[in-house]
Amino acid sequence: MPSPDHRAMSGETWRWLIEKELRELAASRSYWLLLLVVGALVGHAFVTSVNLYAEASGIAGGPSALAQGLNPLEGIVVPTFGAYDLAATLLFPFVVIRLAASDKETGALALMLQSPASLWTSIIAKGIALLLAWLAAGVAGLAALLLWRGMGGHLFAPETWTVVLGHVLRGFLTIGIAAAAGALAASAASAAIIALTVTLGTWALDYVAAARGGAIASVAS
Amino acid sequence: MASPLPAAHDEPPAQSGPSAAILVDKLSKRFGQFWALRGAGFSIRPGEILGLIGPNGSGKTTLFECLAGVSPATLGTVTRGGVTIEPGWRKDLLYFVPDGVRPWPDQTVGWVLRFIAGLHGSPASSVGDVLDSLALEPLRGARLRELSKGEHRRVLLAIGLLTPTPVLMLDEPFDGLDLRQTRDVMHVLRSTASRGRTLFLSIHQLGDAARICDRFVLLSGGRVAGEGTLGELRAKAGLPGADLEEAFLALT
Repeated sequence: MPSPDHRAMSGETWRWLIEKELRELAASRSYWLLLLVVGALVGHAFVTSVNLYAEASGIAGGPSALAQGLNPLEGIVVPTFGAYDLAATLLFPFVVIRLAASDKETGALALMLQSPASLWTSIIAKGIALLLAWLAAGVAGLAALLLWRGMGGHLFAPETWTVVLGHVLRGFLTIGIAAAAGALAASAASAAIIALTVTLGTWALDYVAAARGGAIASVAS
Repeated sequence: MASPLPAAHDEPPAQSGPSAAILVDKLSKRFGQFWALRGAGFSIRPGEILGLIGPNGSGKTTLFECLAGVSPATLGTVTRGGVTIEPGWRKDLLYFVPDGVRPWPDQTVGWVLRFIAGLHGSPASSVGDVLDSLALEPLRGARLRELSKGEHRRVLLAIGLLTPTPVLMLDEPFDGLDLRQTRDVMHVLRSTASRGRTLFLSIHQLGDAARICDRFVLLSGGRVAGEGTLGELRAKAGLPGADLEEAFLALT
């Protein structure tokens, strides 16, 4: 009898697993809240940064003395995508924890452990679905960049994609931390505390490193 | 669905060969200093309906979890035809539907059953058959969190019936069902067993157990206190003519 863990996973198995996770995400209020908040924050950040950029560059009729120091990366792209820092730290962990911990809390885990899919297959399917969810949340930021281009603004592709990729990786990191917390903690509430401690802890570490430098700065970097 | 319930056998059904039986030997499970299972040993014969009988806390659910490989046993082996079946392999042989789980509450009954069938490689047509046999067709579009206890119980049964393993273990399959539903589900289970699938049912209502099971495993304090048909248990208890309840009380 072949061990299930060594049995080749069919494309159909992957399709069912990923569809299950996407349906669970679609039924998650925390994910819809994330999309709502990210949309509003990105929109607000984009409008504010465009106004500031216009004023500082003299387009709005003001002094253009600062124009030479401006560039779209620092003036538009980074502030617009700054909303994703907040989302990855304060909102996305809850989405991840709900998806990671719900099978354990509802008892579905006992059924999934007996499915032909191995445990790792199930975990990877959850990771793929969460990454897709994070990319979907990124549509607001990409729409802002398209709007910027439509307004005649300039974007330098390599540096823009570096920022976007950085936020994708940050989302990926959040998935890893929050999923681990969701798997290890006894309840979703405990998992949220662990995940927020880690994500907010990195903020505190960055702050202290920037202020003091030295050994802490080398740890933070 | 409401056809007459076939009588339970007093003797086990014909065997396809002794090598096909699953032998459980010295299965033990310890939680800290507490032994929930203490060297449980018995056999599961092909095509039979085996009842696991025991009071609350006797280790029935733990036994199922260890057998299915969902929870690791501290000691003991499971063999079939002389070959040891390691926990990681048991999902090809056994499927366990636990009591009290509420999986995927935001999904519809129809989707959950299609998902289970698709994931386990069962034919899509089997979903319609199971929905019909358990009278779940009107609930196809209902979300699982909206179901009553009895409706949810039937969905869990449907999940188990859609899996293709030779042995299906159900924890308290009649809990939450009314009299008519219990009879109907018994008929479905007996029909499933008649097609060759082995059923291992944990039942705390001895009357229900006596009506559907071919053989029984009596569990008390994590130990197997008796195994066999009602006739064999009567003989072991020295109570000819006793019913299952009297034999159970005498042996545990």
